[in-house]
Amino acid sequence: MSSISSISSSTREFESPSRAQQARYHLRRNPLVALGIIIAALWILIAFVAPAIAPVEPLKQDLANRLQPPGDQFLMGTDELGRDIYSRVLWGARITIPAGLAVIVIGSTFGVIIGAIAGYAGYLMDETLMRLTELFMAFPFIILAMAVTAALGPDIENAVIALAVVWWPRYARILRGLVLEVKAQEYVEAAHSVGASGFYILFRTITPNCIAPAVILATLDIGTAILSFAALSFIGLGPEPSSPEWGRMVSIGIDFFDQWWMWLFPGLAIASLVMAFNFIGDGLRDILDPRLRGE
Amino acid sequence: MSFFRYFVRRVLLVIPILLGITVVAFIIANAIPADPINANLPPNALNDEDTIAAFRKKWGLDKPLHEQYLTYLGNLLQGDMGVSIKWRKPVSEDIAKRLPATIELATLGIMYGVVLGVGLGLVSAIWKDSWADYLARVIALIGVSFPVFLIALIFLNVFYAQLGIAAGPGRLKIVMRPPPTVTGMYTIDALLNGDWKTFTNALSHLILPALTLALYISGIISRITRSSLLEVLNQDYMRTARAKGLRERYVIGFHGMRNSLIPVVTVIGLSYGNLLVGSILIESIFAYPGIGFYMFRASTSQDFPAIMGVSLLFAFIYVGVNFVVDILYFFLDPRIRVA
Repeated sequence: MSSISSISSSTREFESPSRAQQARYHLRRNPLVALGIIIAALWILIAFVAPAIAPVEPLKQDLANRLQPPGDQFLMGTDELGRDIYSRVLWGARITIPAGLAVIVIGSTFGVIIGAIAGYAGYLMDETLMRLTELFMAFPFIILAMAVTAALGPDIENAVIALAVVWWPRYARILRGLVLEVKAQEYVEAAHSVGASGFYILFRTITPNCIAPAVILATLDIGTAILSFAALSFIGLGPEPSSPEWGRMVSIGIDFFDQWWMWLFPGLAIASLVMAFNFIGDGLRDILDPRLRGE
Repeated sequence: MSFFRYFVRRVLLVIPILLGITVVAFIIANAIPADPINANLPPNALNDEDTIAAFRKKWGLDKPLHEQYLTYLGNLLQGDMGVSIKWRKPVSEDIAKRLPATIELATLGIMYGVVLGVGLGLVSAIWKDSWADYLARVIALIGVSFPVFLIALIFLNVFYAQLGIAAGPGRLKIVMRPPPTVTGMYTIDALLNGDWKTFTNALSHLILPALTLALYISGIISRITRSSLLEVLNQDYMRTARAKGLRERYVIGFHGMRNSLIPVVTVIGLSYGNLLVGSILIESIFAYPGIGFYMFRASTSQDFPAIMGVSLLFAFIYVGVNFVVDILYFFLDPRIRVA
């Protein structure tokens, strides 16, 4: 009896670690991932509570206190209309974070659908969709986004739509390749043999088994999406000038170059958020693709 | 495969891509705006029936869509990209005037960027997990995470406004006259004219924006160089080279670098797209009168024909650079030559 219990306890020792244990192990090995998660979570929290914690309304003008440097009264100074930069930076998180996430969600969903259809349908449909994908990839993507936003008219929604329009091709290519691999599996044949419809097989049997790499790519892409949105705003193809969007605030700050607080703080807000998502993305890539660690 | 066959095959592949780009540009220019006339003509011309009729006729707007595309393509082949709403001049004329300045900046930017990116990647891979590796990775991380316009503003503030060790905005000091135009690139034109003073001044105005561009693109180049070299360093042939008694410098320089170059060259080609985007953001901050500054001002004033003209040009340049990268593969990868 005792020998049986000793065997079972030694077996327990070799049990594979739980997900929580694995996560703790990877976080210890990649402290920057933990830092990235903390910074990103902090910004997301700020986006939720900005109305409660911002000292003043982001659009409230105070001409008597215009262009004040950072100090006790105004933590990050004020802009040319006396608006509090600190409050505007906090409120800016409510624009930039949802915009970046929306670009990724819309772009990746569209790309996944196109890639899945191309891979599953094959033949002429596959050729047509893949050539279309290559066409979109022939443009430097921000340039194409600029052209689309200019055609649609500059505002936040159109900037997000324009970025999503140029974001999908990478996802389409990845999904197509994965669907081609998965559709040859036996369980897909089994689904065919029980008479399941093509739509059901594609979106209920095949796609769920290919989605993980697209989700990882999406995580890696969030930082780039935020940077791209900020770039569009910076050149005037995003929200209106009075908006507390970070890229737009930097753009307006150029005209007040000596009042460095006008462009530095919103710029650092973008950099910290993008860096946080890059830390997370890098860590995720290291964990999932050990070859890139060079070990 | 002979080089000639490889080259011809690549050219044949590029032609449909170029045509495809014109289709996408045509769709954006003609199908997305609710009214192409509103988007392309200045507000004061919208009341003038003759101007509107002339515009319709020129771009074939009263014809079916496929005929409109052929008209658009015909106009494009003659270098006609429409008339800028803001500057009231043909877009192609404006582009031709400003392109040399951007080529000058982009060339210096890509040179600095490749040297910085490959250098950082090399240091990082060879001395992996050392303080040099961490420093190189932090610089790369700044390059990929900081918005390029923020880097430009910080550089301008620190090196020009605070320390006074770099030249400020523009292409030349305000009191200086540009050299007689030959190429449109001030440094080359000044050299051709034997004007050393103008050359050094033009070069000094290029350094800060080119360094900003370099930092922007070096992040991705150094990351790829590091991971590619780390992968190669673990290969059996590297061990064999060391076992033969070759010097470490030769092992890394000849066997390591050569075999890790292909992904690096690919990413340099792809980062040319970033360079073009970067030029829009950087030129606007350095008031550098190239295509990027033109695009920035066109965007802020919703000058649709100018935006479309520059987008098309950038797409063509991007395809051209990636074509050159494809050709480089022939020399870098022996597997292509024997395929």
